[in-house]
Amino acid sequence: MTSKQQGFLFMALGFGIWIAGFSLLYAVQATGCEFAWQQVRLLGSISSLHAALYGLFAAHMAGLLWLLAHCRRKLATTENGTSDAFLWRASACLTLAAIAALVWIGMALPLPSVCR
Amino acid sequence: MSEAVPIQDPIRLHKALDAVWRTPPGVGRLSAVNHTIVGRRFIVTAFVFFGIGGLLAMLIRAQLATPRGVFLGPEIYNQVFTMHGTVMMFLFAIPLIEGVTFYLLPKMLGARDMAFPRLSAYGYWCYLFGGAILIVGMVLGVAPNAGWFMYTPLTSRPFTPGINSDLWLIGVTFVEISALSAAVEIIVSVLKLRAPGMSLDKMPLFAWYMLVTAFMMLFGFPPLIVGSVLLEVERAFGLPFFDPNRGGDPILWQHLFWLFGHPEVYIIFLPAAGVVSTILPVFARREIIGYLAIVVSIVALAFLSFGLWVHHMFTVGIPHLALAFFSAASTAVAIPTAVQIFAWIGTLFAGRPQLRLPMLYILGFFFIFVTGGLTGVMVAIVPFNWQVHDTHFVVAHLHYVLVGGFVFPMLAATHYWLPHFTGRVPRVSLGVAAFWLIFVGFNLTFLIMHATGLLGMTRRIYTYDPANGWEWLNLVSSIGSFVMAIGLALFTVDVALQIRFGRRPGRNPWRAGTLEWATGTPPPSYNFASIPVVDTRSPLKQSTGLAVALAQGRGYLGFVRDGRLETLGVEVTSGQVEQVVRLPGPTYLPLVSAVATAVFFLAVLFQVYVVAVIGFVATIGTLLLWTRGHGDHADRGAMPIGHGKYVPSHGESGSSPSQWAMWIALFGDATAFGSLAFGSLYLAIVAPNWPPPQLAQWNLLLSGSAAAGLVLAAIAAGRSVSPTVLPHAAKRKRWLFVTAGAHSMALAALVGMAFGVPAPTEHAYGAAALVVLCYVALHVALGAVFALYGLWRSRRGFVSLVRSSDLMIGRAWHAFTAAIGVVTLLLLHAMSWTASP
Amino acid sequence: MKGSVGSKRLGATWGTTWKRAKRFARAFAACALLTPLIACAGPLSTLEPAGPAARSIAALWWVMLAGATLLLGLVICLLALAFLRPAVARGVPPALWIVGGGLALPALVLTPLMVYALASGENLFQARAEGRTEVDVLARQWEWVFTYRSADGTVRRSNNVLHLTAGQPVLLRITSADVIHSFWVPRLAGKIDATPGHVTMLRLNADVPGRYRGVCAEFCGIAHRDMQMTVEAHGSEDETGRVIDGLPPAMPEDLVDAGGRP
Ligand code: HEM
Ligand SMILES: [Cu+2]
Ligand SMILES: [Cu+2]
Repeated sequence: MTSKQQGFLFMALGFGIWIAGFSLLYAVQATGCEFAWQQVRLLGSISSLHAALYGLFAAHMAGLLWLLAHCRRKLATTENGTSDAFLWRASACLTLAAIAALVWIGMALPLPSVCR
Repeated sequence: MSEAVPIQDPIRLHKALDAVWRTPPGVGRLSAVNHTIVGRRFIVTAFVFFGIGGLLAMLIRAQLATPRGVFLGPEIYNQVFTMHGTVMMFLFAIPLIEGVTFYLLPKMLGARDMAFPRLSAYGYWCYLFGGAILIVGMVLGVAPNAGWFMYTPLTSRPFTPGINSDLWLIGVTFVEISALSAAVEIIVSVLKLRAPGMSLDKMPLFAWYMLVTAFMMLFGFPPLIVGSVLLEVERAFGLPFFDPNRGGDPILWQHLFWLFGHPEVYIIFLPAAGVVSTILPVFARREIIGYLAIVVSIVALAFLSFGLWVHHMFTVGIPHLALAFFSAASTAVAIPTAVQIFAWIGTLFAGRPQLRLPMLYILGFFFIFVTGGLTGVMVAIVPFNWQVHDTHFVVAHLHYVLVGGFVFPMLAATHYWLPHFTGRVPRVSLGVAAFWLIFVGFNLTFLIMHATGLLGMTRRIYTYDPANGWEWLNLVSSIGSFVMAIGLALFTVDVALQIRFGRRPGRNPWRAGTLEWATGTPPPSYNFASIPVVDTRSPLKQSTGLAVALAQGRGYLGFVRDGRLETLGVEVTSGQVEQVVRLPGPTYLPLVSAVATAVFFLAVLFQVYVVAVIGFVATIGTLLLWTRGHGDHADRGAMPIGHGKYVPSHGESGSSPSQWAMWIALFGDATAFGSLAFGSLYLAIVAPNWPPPQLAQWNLLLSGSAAAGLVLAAIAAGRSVSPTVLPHAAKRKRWLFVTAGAHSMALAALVGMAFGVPAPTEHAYGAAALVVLCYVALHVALGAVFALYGLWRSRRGFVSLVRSSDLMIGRAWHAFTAAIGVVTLLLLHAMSWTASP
Repeated sequence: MKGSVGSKRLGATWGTTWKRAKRFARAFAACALLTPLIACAGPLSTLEPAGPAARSIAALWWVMLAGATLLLGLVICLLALAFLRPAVARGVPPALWIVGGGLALPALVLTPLMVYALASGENLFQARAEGRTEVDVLARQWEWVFTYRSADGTVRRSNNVLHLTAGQPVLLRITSADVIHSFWVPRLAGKIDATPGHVTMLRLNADVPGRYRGVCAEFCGIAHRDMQMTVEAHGSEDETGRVIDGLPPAMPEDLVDAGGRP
């Protein structure tokens, strides 16, 4: 992969993180229910399953925020109007969209019916 | 070696090019690999299947027109709706997309063909033979009868003992080969085979749409293929993947199917949206607004669509939190869709729109597709879904999306590009009348069908009682569907008249800006007599004289060299010229390979497994034969392409299309492996009737030597392409031998492990372990074959420091095999661990 | 169709706005769907709900229908204008189309819808756990077997008729003996699959005594469409008890058992 092709690769990275987060949230939810993690309470009322889900959410959000910063940095240092600038701009937009999509599915996280 | 001198006289240039690109007449047509011809075949065949699927739809509507209909009995009805869905999704929609893409893409990108013409031809034959298997089954009255999503256990042996389900599993998997090969081919063609100067941001939007769609096909189809193979193995050999009594789980099928099935819907929609994004600006008479926003939204849509599959499973009994993730993701797709819709609307406002026939269909598309999208948001809402799931509301919704989002754009495309296919435009047109019949008929059929569903009519019932309040609705739906059918018949007549009697308008009748209109119409076998330099998104708008200049050989490659078929390859993002890609001419090999593949599939269908093995080996063998006569025996360095430019041939470029194809194919392979691994873990964690009665006692010596063999093979293959080894035949030979030997060792160890798997027919644990082992073993065996093949190529002098493509491709395979092998060994231990009580 | 909303947690002001919106929605729907052809009534109609779950979903439908009709109308008007009066919006900058129409508009519509849907879904899920009596449901090709456990330990069964008491929620534990079926009584609640190897839950509650028809909604083979049943909602617990006591005892193969895992 030459440096030229990086911008192109990064177009897939934002939503790549999103889909990884999404799949992991679902996988951990299902596995946790199977092993009854929702009954193990941490800190007052939060179950360990909910805590794991919030943790996953936060980790992927952090990754996406870093990515956004990176794309914007790259965009700022690329000459305007070139195809590279186009690809970095697209990557930045896609990362932003992935952040919005993660927040959007994150709306479900507070729901109490984790395992039924 | 003849020195390449550009030919300036258009007629002589045409004759010279056509002599090497032309497909021979008569029986020789069977050897066609040219994208124009293969694309046309895909398109015509797909429309024939559309006719068949449409006839089946008419049977359905005739049966449901009145309560207590006695036209079809339940068995026939079940076959009819299953085949209707199957034909429409697998034999009409996807192949039509492939055909349109094969036909248009190289022309839009300024290339002379797709990257792997023989692969497209092979894909076509697989599609034709697989489709024929299904249709023959239907004519014999043993068509699949369990619905197009084939839910287990209804499709398992005990509940469908006949051949019906096998026909589906085998026919569809056969057809899917063409989808996967098309995916790889489209990706590589878009990335590598463009006109010089066409950087990614100058590509026509259609190419972006197809690039994204092809990636979706690459990741979407493997889960279905894996699911189908598992189900066929369960049916044929009794390995219980989906049988809950033996540690399988019917829900696993649903996950695998919909992991494919939802993306499938977008795989169908995106190319159609690409067509809209291509045609609409032509009739708005200005460039599309929001190019970047559209690119961003199709990439977003592609990813989001892989996070939706459970919305087909809202009534399965999955916990609310999980459903809510999928519900949210499903509503989220409305946003990238809306971005495109408003980009189109904005383009219309900004331009001076013209209501020509293709535009009329696009307006029809807007109305129907937007309605389907809105009901889509409704069914994505969990509680509402509980009511309408599996009712005619969903039937109505899915037809609004598929007919609105696919058929209407395709009808628009037919009218728009027919002059390109035939060189003719209509004298008189029945098109407007046909449009209104189709449009009104469609809405009459399906708009009120929402109400039928809300009033409680479930789908897939062959008859109903009069007292439910559904009689009027159904009758009107049936009348509407016949109106629509008449409209489609009129459409066909119109097209036939235009092909036969249309007048010849000359080039570019719509004044479009994309490059496909720079070829002659009908297009010559080589597309462009010489290849343009592109520095804008609508090259034909920029310079009106372009087509003539190209015909006069004033672009690149305006000559024939060595009697070979040549086009240009570019660097992926910038579009700078990088290589001369030499393409194969007409050959019967794809047909031969496809026949071998057909032998394999038919043998599996009729359970004569010895023949199946022969068919498999013959397929691999004939596929390897494709490379005979390709490649160079000596380094030849940079070649002139005209205008004083020199670039190497693809084999010496270090970035050949075949290398890209291998990497990309391995992504698909990894998805298949991932689906298999997911399935195994899923069973181990959630399936009923676990733990298994008996766990495998893995012999550490065996798993150790398997791992060692796999890793050694990968390392040796890596050595064989290192710069110190590559130039020396003897050293290459040594490392390739080590690769093959290491593979043999790993294979022996894996077979040994397979014997340690406890009774695979008794519990899903053993079944899953066995299948995963077989998957790796198959890769290892092929790895050994590829290593020996590399050895042979190296012996014959096809390999050198710069001509390393063959070995690089092998190396990718060996590394991948090692990776999945090691993961498998870990997985097997993990499964024993989660399964132990 | 009676007017009250399933979820009372949303507060009174919301309640009146809600009612107004619903009346508006229904008027709209009346035109849109050619009411002469379609009365909402019918023995299997989801639009003639007779229990709280079905009622809250029907309300959801009317709201979504109104919203969808407005949005569709907007798109059609824009398209018509683009051809007939393009001047009205020629000056709109591209970014405004994309951001305003593509992002802001759907986000504004979807956010409240999603919040409401999650809340109402959660209510229905919570309610699933609260049934007073439990009835086991076994689906098999092609019938429904309901089994009732009385206090004295006897287990009785009825085929294709479910007995319950109006106004008293019943918790169904549902599974299948062969292929996948789906339990659906449209006027009372949404459907839930009956899957071999798994037990699913559904709460059923009928407002008033009466008979409510149900069907198998998941295609399950040649006699799929004949796999129908009836829910009989009786007037009092005593009456239900008497009916159940008169039923035949259950056979071992009628009992719900779904393999090792819960
Ligand atoms: C030509 C007009 C068409 C009519 C009148 C029509 C009619 C129908 C009807 C009535 C059903 C429901 C059958 C039942 O549940 O009993 C159905 C199912 C279906 N249709 Fe169509 N259809 C048409 C075109 C299409 C097209 C173009 C596609 C896809 C591109 C399509 C895909 C499907 C699928 C996937 C199913 C589900 C099959 C199943 O339940 O297994 N249909 N169609
Ligand atoms: Cu879907
Ligand atoms: Cu059933």
